[in-house]
Amino acid sequence: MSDVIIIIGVLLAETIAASFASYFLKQSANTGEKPKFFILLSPFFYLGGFLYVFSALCGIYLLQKLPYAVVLPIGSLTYVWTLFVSRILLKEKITKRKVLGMTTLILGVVLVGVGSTL
Amino acid sequence: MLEALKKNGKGIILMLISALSLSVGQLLWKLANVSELVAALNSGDSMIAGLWKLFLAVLPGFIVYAVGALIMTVALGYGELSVLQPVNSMSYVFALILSAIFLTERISWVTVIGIFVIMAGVITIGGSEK
Repeated sequence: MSDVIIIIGVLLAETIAASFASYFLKQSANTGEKPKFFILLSPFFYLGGFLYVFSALCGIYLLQKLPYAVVLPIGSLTYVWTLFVSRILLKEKITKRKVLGMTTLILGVVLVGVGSTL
Repeated sequence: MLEALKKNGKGIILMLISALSLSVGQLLWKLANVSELVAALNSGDSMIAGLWKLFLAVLPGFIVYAVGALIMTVALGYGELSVLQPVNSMSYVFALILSAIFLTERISWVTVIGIFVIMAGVITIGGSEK
C-alpha cells in the first residue's frame, strides 16, 4: 500500500517538476533587448534545467516499478499541469481549442503506450 | 488556423528541432548500451576505467540533449507556453521513428495510429490564436 503512495507521489513529482521546468525556462528566455546568449546568465535557466533533470530521474525510477506503456502516457500529465501554470502564472488564455488539442494529444500518447505492448 | 500556425511558426519550428535533438540524444544513449556499462561497473576490473568508459559513452547523448534543451529555451521565448510546450511531445514520435530505423524495433499499428493522433493534437494546439 505504501508502495502505491510512493509511486503516485513520484508520478506527481515527475510531471509537476517538468511543467515548472518549462515555466522557468520560458522566464529565462525573455532576454528583452539583450541577445539570446544572456539566457545562460539567467538563474531561471539553471533552475529549469535542474527541475528537468530531477523529472528525468523520477522517470527512470518509475520505469523500474511500472511498465513503459503506463509511464509514458502518465508523463503526458505534464501538459495538463502546464495549462494551469500558463493560465495562473503567465495569464495565457486556455481556449477550447487548446483543451481539444491536449485531449487529442494525450489520447495519442495512450495509443502509443498500448501499441508498445503489442 | 493557417494564419495562427504561421504566427506561432518560429517557436514551433524551434520546438520541433529541440524535440528531434532530445530523441537523438536518447537514441545515442540506447546505442551506447549505458545500462550494460553500469552493470559492468559492479563486476568490472577497475572502477576508474569503468567510470571513464561510462562517461565517454554518455557524453555524446548528453551534449545533444543539452543543445536540445537550449534550443527549447530559445523557442519558448517566441510564443505562449501553453502552445509551445505540447509540441515537445513530438519527441515521442521522433524517438519511435528513430528506434524503428536505427534499432530496427518493431512498431505496431496501434502505435502508428497513436503517432498520427499525437500529430493531430499538436497541429490543433499549434493553430491556436493568441
